[in-house]
Parts: sequence; C-alpha cells; structure tokens
Amino acid sequence: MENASQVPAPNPPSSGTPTSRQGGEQWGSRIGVILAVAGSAVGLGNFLRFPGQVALNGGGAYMIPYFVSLLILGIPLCWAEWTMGRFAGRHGNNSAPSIYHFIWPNPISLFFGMIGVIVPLIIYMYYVLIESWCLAYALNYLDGTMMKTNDFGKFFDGVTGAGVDGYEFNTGYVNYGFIILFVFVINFALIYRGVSKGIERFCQLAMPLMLICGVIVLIRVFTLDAPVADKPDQNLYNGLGYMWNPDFTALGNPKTWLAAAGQIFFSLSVGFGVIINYSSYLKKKDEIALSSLTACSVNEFFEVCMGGLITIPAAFMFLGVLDPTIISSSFKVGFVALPNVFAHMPAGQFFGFLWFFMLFLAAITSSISMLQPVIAFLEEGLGLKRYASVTILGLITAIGLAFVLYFSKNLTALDTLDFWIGTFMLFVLAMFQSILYGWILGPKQGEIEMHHGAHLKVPSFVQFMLQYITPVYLIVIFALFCYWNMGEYIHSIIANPVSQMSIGFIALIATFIMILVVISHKRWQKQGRKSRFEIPAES
Amino acid sequence: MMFPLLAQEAAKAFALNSAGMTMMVVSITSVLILTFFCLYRVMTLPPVEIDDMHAPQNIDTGDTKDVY
Repeated sequence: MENASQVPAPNPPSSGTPTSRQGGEQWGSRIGVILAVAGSAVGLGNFLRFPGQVALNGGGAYMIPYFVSLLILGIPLCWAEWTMGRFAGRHGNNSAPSIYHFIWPNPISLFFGMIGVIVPLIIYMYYVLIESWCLAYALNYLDGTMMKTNDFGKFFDGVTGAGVDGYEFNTGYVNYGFIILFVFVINFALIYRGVSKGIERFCQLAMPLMLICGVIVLIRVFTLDAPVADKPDQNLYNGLGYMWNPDFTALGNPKTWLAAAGQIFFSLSVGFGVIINYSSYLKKKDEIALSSLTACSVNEFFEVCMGGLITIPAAFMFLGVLDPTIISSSFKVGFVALPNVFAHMPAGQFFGFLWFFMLFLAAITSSISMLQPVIAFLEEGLGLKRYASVTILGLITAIGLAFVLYFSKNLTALDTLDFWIGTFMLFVLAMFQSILYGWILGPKQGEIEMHHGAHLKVPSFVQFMLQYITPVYLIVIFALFCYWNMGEYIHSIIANPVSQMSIGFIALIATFIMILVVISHKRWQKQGRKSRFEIPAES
Repeated sequence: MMFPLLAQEAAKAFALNSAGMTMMVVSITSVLILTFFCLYRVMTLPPVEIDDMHAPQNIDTGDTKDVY
C-alpha cells in the first residue's frame, strides 16, 4: 500500500485562528462520505442521459472520448475539489465563498463564491420537481394506474403540466401536489439532521437499495430474449448491438468529443459546489485521494454498467429502433419510452415501480447534496442556527419551486434555468475551480494537501494535467458548447417572456446571494478570519 | 401514445458484432475492476485511530443541537 509519506512533509494544523475545525460538522465514516459524494453524483443522467448519448454518438466508439475525458477531466477535477475543500475546511471554511476566499483572498473569489452558492440552490428548485415526477411514477406503478394508461406522452404532460402554464395550480391535481410537498419536506428533514446524522445515514441506506433495484431490473431485461412475439429481431442481442456497435467515423466529429466530455463533467457533479463543501467536513488525516477515486468509480458503475445495459437495450427490445429525437431527450426516454416498455413487459408493474423508485433514490441523494452547500453558507456567513438556516432556505427554494411549477408550459422555465445555471454556470464554476487549484493554490501545494493521510499515491503528472491540460480542455469544450448552443437560448430569451422571467429570476437570486456574501465577508473580517497566507506555518 | 418507429427490418441491422461486443466488454470490465479495486482498498484500510474517530463519539455539530 502506497502512503503519503512519499510526498513532502505536511504542514501542521493551524491553531489560534477562529476558523478551527472544532465544533464544526464532520463525517462519521470513510465509506459514509464516499457514498454521500457518489450519491450526489449518481442521478437521472446516469440512467437516462448517458445511454442516449452513447447511442447517438457512435455507439461503442463513444466510450473512447468518454474514458479520455474521465481520465483528464473528471477524475483530476474531483481530486482538486476534494483537496481544496478539505484544506479550507480544516481551517473552518465550509461554504464556497469562504473556501475560495481562503485560497485566494481577492474580491473576485467572493463573486465566484456567490456562483458556488446559486448553482446548487437554483438547480435544487427544479430538480426537486423532477424528483417528484419519479416518485409520482413509482407510486402510480404501485397502485396499478400506470398499467391502465395507454398514452404515456399525455400522462407525462399531465404530471408535469407541460401543456399549459399553471396546470398544477388550476386543475386540482391534488395527489401530485402532495407528492411535491412530501419530496420537498423529506429533503429538508434530511438536511435538518445534519451531515452525519442526515445525509450520511440516508446515503448509506439509499445507495445499496439503489443497487439492488438496478440489479433486479437488469436481470429482468437480460432474461427477456425477444419479448414481442411477432418481432423476433427485437431481441437482447440486437438491443445491445443498437447501443454498443461502434461507428468509429464518429470520432472525427468534434461534437462526439464534446458530448463525451459534457457527460463526464455533468455526471461527476464537478463544478457543482457540492464536492468542495462535502470535503470541507473532513479532517486533515482523513483520506481523500482514494476516497475521491472510489466515489468517481461508483458513479461510473451506475452509469456504464447499469445505465449502459438497461435503458436503450430494453427500449429497443419492446419498441424497435427509436427516433433520435426520443433518444436525445432524457425526459422522453425516461418518462415516455420506458413506461411503454414496462407496459408490455411481464410483471411490468413491479419492475416499473422498482425502476422509478431507483430513479427517485438517485434523485434524492443528489438533491440533498444541493441543499448542504447553501445551508453551510447561511450558517457560516450569517451565523444562523440550523433551524433558522433551514427555514430561510426552505422559503427561498419554495418560491423558486413555485416559479418553475407555475411556468410549466413546454417546461420552458425548467429548461432555461437548467441551461443557464445547470450547464453554463457549471462550466464557469468548474473553470474557475480548475484555475484556482492549478494556478492559485498551485500544483506543489496541491500535491502536498492531496496526500495528507492518503492511501493512494496520485501520480505527479496529474498535477501537471491540473495546471495545464485540464483548464485548456475545459475552456475548449466551453467555447465549443457556447458556439453550438448559445444562439438558440439567446434567441429564446428575446422571443419568450417566460425565458425572460427566468433570467430575471436568476438575476434576482444572484443579487440577493451576492449581498449576503458581502455581509458574510464583513462578518468574517470582524472575526479575524484569515486566508491561507496568514495562517501560521505548519510543521 | 403511438411510438415513432423506423422500419422493423432495421432491427436486424443491429446484431451485436465483435467490435460492439469488445467495446461493451472492455468498458464494463474496466469500470468493474476500478470500482472493486477502490472499494476493496477502502474496506481494507487500517481502522481509524480512536482520536480520529468522528461520530458518534466526539461529534459536536453545534448548530444541530435542537434536532430531535
């Protein structure tokens, strides 16, 4: 077993600063923090987005840029986030603004800290809605409603209100309202109990349960052979071929590489503000090199081994060759195509319930992770107790949820928030964190910090990658992403009033959080909180 | 909802070929090896020293004292 003793001597713990780890929240176990981070990363994208991306971008050939992106973008960035989070966290910094400002005492870092708060905050506002769709589908399978439904597109529109604005408020769809309320409350109940008693304990239960549900559905799919009697070609063998047969000419298309990098990027929750917050609750001696790699690998397991073998092959076996417009939409694959599959599958009611319950678990382990960075900021920045921070956050997110819920037509509000916050800002934050690690903290300091208590030696070239290759790779991907996608969304802002309101809503939240960040910064200055340059040298 | 399908005959064209099988097996095996290697390493790490243990012995969350 390699040990961190091979790397330069660590710095001693700082003392005497008001930012000591004493009294702060901490994880209860190694596997607990790993499952919590993995739970944050594993979400609907693993089961619905990834398989569609593979099928649309060269089949098995897509896995080449996918694994390249994992190695030079995903895993190194995760290591960097874990390292910066633990480093700042053991000096009492748990929220993005204080962590960034601790590493780089510059007003610009406070601005990016604000982004680190609004990204998980706004994503939560619509993600909790998607989470409630999963639970609604699971419960409708449980009581048999889904098995009596013929038109799954209409059913989806009914649940989401995609047909008309204010649908949920006008039609008295009471049961679904209760589901949204339940999901919203359960998230806050878990977060109220804290990092160790809430998030960690829940993830230790939810992740194995998710695995069991996934394995059962996988076994079902692999034992179906050709389920449609008069269509013998729609069998498992061809379904796997539809998903995995490689088209190597796709490797010459830059969009394939962008799709793979984007999938890795979004799947691992890099630039989310979550990993850096979770790792801030670790102690100096706590392992991070192996833990980070393990969390990444667990996420990959659910994505490649579950998502890659279930969704598209199953859809092919029952529905034949799918229209690319269906495959490219995670919502259409998950909430329209797969219910069609379960409707025709023997014991489909049971397997449909298991599938959507698994998606619900995947979603809730992600959504609770979005609340914790904001809770950490409210408590650390404003000195609030848990009940106060949870109440304030509950009010803010309820307003955001109501906004997304009301403007449900064509899911425009959800889509706009997802693009500008869940995609665009995620890129921005990841690029900032990449530069923060590679150029401000520096690879030398980073390597020392990364290896405190490590049980895995991270190769030295990773530091070189984090300084040069990863930021450049990210910037290139971001530029291509903007080139191909920005026009459509900017046009949408000009043409669609709901998109304009959504942008206004983002601006409002960003301004509010920026004011709180400035107030927090003044409090920290009064407390005599120090940056990394001002703490006593560690021996 | 009627699902938009292409011609059923197209299904024949997707029989898993050797390149597809190779990509699938290599991808899944690589991920499985990495996952089990990491989990094995984590599970077999030496126990945490008593003064490093966090919860429930010395956890003091402070802000969650009012939690039931």
